[in-house]
Amino acid sequence: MSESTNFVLPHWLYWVWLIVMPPLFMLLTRRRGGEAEAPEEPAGAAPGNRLTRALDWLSDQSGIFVALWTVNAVCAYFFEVVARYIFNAPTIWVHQASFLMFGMQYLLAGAFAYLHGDHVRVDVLYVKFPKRGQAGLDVFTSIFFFICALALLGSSWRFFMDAVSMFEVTEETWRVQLYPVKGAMVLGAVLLVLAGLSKLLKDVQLFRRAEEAGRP
Amino acid sequence: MSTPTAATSRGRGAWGRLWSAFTVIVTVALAFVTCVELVNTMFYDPYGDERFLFTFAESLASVSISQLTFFMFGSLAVLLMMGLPMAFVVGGLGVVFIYLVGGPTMINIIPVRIYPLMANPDLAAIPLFIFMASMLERAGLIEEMFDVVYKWMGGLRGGLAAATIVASTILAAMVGVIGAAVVTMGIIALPAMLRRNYDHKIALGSIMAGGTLGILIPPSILAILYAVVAQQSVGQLYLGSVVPGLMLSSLYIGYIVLRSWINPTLGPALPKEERVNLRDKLRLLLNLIAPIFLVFLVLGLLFGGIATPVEAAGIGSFGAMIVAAMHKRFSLRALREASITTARASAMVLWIMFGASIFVGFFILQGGREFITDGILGTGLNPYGILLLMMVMLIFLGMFLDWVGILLLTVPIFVPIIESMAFDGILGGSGVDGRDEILWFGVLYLVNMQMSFLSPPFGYALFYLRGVSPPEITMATIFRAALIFLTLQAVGLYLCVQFPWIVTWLPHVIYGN
Repeated sequence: MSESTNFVLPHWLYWVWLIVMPPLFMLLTRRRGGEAEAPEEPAGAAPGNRLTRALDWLSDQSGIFVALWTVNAVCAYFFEVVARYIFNAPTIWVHQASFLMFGMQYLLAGAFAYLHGDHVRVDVLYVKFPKRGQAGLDVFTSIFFFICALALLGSSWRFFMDAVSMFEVTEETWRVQLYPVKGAMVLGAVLLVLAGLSKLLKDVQLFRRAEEAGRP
Repeated sequence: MSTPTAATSRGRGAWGRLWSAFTVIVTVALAFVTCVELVNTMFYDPYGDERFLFTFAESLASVSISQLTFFMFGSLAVLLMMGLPMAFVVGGLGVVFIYLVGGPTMINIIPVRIYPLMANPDLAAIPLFIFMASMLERAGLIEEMFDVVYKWMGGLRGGLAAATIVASTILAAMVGVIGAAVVTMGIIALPAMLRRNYDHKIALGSIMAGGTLGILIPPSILAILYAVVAQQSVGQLYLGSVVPGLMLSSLYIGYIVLRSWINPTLGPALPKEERVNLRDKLRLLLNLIAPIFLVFLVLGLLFGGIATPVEAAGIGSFGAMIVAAMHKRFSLRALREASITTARASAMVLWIMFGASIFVGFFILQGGREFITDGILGTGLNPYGILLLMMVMLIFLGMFLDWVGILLLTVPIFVPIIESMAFDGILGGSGVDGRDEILWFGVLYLVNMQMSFLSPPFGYALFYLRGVSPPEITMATIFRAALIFLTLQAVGLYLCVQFPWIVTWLPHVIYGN
């Protein structure tokens, strides 16, 4: 095994690439695509104000940002198998680099999925409620949403600080820094809280609007 | 937040106003309690006696596990019905119960539960397989697959329905999720069958049954999750599910061909002039060479032990990009769209895992597993009776819950029970070797989940199909169609229980005993 002679991705390049690659890709695809992305909801009746639009924009862009990391992983695993079987030179970094990247992606894409309503819900009873009732239920259940998101935020902050203070690295050979991965938990929780805030504001608005519409 | 209780309206009755007032009061009250507890957690020493206003921390500390089970799963059911996404229901309730039982310091177990899932090397196969499916879908492969198989089999009685199953089976070997297959088949295959006066039940049933095969036939996403949660090898589970998957697929085809052979009006063959000759058939087949090669490559790498499931998924995704390029559907834009679809779908799956690992992890920590185990073993049933009980529970849960949720709620509890029992065969059948039990149960579990997708009244496949079928197809027809194929499914499940070698044979051949 001649691992030392093989190419090993330097740690700094890994982190820089993860930050630089998505904006680059977004820029490239924007020029090609021409028009901006079509809004998912019909604009007219949709509730919201400047703040919720800003928050939604943040969730959306952060989601696209981390989503584009997938492309790297696809190429990396392909490279790994080719390197191992064709050049008989397995790498020590592809696996770790890829699954840690996906780990950060899951956390950071939570807000994005929440914005687009991808998190599955049991809608057996829920769909039977009128719009106002749904908005009311959403406002009520958002308490549990925030309990979950804030608890994650608080506890992962501590977890993150521990990792920072120890300069924690992975146990395997590549020894990449782990605190950014744990930092992704904090950031993901922050994004989730913000996405939840936007949803809550919209629901409250919807609830009150339905109230007013009910008046003679 | 203002309280709009004073709104007097003619349109809504007193109930509407009462409902609004109730919602607002309950929400404000609960939000207040939450804020107080938040202040307690953030600014007060958890070991001191001083508290801000009041606290409920550790108020459930001395509650027995049976009561705790009741509270936890009762509130779970209520909150789920209120429409909060499952991930946050289990996550939020998990935090609430941790706080009520263990107090503020115990909250710190949350990242300890979540982090191992983030850094799990096997789970990376989930986004990769989703990416592969999404890329192939963008390449227009589903349409093409049906088109080719349909021209090959159109001359048979019931040929279109059988073609739907064959095409779905091949597709299932490329994708690990079900939505796309059911919807796309509903859009292309259903009109084709209805135009030829196919029996509605056969037409609809073949789409639903075929489309849900994706959950069973490798590379299934659910199998990866099961393997991670039950600490099994993904490769073995994939191998074990190949034969049952093909068996079910042939059961469906057999049923369709038999029915339409007895009564040709159920599924008339294509008229002679619409059939294509052998040369055209072969030419059509050329289109499919690349995707089929991809399937064999991915499964070959996987089963040959050449690549891990994650690497096979990576190769498959790379190959899918090449296939898309061959179909002239590849662009950076397509890459971006596929990546976004992938991130959304995998975030959905993983967040349920995060939430459920908090909830279930806490439940198990409090002795919940022993409690449920004692309850199930205490029924005095023999192992096969308990297995049946579990299957019924899974199907029942499948009527309401999402598959990821069911997996995380049940598998950590069921698997140790299965492990502790001996299955010596039933009705003269052969038994299951102790080492194969978890693998065997995993495949039964996958077949079961496929059933839950098909089972009225809330199976996902039924609703996916309803969304794309013409208005003359009623929900009742879809239900009846599903029931027929559910029966076939039950037969398949029974065969796997009666003859465990259907599951264990292939893994033994490849991996040896």
